[in-house]
Amino acid sequence: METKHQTISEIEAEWALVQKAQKDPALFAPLYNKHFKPIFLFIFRRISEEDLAGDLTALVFSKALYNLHKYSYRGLPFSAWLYRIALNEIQAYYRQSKKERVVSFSSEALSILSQDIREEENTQLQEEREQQLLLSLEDLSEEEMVYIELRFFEGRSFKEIADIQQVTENNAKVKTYRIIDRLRKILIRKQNA
Amino acid sequence: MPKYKFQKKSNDPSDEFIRSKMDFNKILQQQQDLNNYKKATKPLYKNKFFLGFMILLGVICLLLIFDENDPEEAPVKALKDSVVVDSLKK
Repeated sequence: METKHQTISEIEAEWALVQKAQKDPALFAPLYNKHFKPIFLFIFRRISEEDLAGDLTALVFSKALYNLHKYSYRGLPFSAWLYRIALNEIQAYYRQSKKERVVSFSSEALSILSQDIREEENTQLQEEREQQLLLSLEDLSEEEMVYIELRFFEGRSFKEIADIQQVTENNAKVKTYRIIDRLRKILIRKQNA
Repeated sequence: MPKYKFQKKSNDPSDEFIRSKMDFNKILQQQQDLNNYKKATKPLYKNKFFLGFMILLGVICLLLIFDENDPEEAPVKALKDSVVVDSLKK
């Protein structure tokens, strides 16, 4: 994954750029150039259409620029705000289009998630287990799915998840473990059915 | 109907493709257009000059109303009128 933790000095340097852009929108260009690709890929993995991902990314930056005067520094990276806007735009797109929400994952990521929720006595084959896991994921709400995607399918840290979801790091951890626990229960229920 | 469509992660679009989607000038223009639109469609009551004018008009109207109904002036006027009538009689 291309994202990395930003140090406090990097976050503050970015905040200085934001302040300049708040005074003159033309100075938003460095932030746009820096964050376009990560935001594009973030949307693409949830939409799976290149052109549409491009359009939605443009919309995210357009909204960010329009609402830039409302942005205030809270010690979080600027990208967290952009990811938040992107998530809202993705949700709005799926609400309007009534399409199935795309969830992209790698085999390794699914395997890690499968191992995390595995019961000790479970002797199922891995492939079978993963198939059942995908069926169980279907029962998760949109918000729960966002946590699973961020943590397992994109391998983000709890700090990053907390920044994007606007909760504390501890809260992000608790929520993720609760979702895993719920997923485990759904899986057992489906196996016994 | 299923809520989610699970799919194995496909290859990310190339850097050239992503770069082709970048257009900062368009974003800037959109923002400018949106600002202009908001400015053009701003309701009259939110216009500070219009609001100021209305307040001023209200104050003037109130002054005129109170000026006409001033209770202290009424007896003076009546007194003046009676003086005029008396002088005419004389």
